Amino acid sequence: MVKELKLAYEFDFVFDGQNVFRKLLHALANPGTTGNIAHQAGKFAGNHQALTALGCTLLDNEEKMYVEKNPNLSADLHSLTLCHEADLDEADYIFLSSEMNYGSMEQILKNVKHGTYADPQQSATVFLQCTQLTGNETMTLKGPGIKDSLTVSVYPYIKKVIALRQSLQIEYPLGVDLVFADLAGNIMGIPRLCSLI
Amino acid sequence: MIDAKHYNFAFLDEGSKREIRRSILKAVAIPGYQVPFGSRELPIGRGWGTGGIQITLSIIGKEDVLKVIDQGSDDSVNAVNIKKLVEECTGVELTTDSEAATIIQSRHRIPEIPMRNDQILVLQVPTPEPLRIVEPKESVTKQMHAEAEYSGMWLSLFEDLTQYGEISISSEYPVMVEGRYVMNPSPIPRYDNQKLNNSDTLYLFGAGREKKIYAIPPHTDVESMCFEDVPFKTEDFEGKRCRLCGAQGVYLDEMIDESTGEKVYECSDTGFCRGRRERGA
Repeated sequence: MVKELKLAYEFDFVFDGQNVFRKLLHALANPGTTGNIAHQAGKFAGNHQALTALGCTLLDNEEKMYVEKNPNLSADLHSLTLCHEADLDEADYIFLSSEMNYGSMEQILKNVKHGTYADPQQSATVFLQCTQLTGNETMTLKGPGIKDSLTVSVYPYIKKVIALRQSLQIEYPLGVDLVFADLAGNIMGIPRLCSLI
Repeated sequence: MIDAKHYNFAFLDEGSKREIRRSILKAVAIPGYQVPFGSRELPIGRGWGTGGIQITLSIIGKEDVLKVIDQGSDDSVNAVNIKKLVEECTGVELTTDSEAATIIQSRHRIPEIPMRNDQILVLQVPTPEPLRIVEPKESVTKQMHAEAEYSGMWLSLFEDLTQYGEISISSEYPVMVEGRYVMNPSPIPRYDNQKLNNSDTLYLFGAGREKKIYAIPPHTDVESMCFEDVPFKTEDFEGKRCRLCGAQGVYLDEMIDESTGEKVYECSDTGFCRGRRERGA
């Protein structure tokens, strides 16, 4: 009896990875704007398609990741990219698949790698999944990538996380870069120099 | 396009691309800071644009339209060879029109026509370290950047000023990015420095031999270093125009007309000049 083989995922690491990277690059170079990776992320199954697509774009066995309380996502990312998990304070990429309360988020942002003055690139990038990016909370951003200032309406969680990072007063060039992703595959980058006004 | 069975899309293997992509993202997050990366071997000698090529190959996709220029020219040896390499291993469309391109790789010039936010300019950099003229050791310059210790750079500019009466740096004129990092804008003329400031486009800089990647995101504050009483000056083309298209107020190449022995000028940006002539401007 001939059985039909089904692919576990259809994500193409060469072409879909390139597409996701370009959208992520644009999102980080233009903070506050929204890109969409739904087409590429939709090639994975599960509830964390966007995070999985972002992980598969950037991770490999040279990097370390930390996945907060989500063994399924951690196992998927490891099996797809060979990236190993590490403690929070050693990880290069942090994946938060659910919305965190204020205290937990503060602990995470305080304890992740901020880089050093000589090597500020040795800092963590945090990927945060939230229900949606757009919402009824208005925030105004400034920083490189933004002409004068940019006012956008976002999901309240996003503004809270950015405000929290800002309250930690991490001295530039040290810092943490944030990337928000929602269930519809929208992504928004908030690099370390981008701040609320 | 070369046989896809033997070469990966865009020549580099996916592991190399991922590392370069990660470095690019960090460079964008820390404007002007030189992110170290593992520069790969390419079928072209180091010092011939391998940093720019590695960035281009790591970011390019099937839908992109590529333009490569060398000193403003679409047709010089370096530009043509790089174009051929990228085209053969990606199959992307090539153009000489700055406005039609999604990615422009350049050596020593920024195109005349202002670039848009949906475009990326990749610049090839021979010597990314602006402090090398004041300090030969990499470990020391790295620490100087860490401490924002740029007094040596200021002193170097001042010495130049006292010796020549003006700052004599013609290209690679150092800039201060977001008030934090002194950066080498690659050997672009001073005329192009102003295009880096508060631009709509993303600039990526690649130094293959020196293994560094750095970036200037759109709308970033980029200031050419100068003194309060000695303002930054660009090259002066007052009263000169391109002999081919008649353009004024653009960066011009000076050459000697062999028949008359007189100095004549042509647009440095050949794509821009050709476009003007084709439109009958």
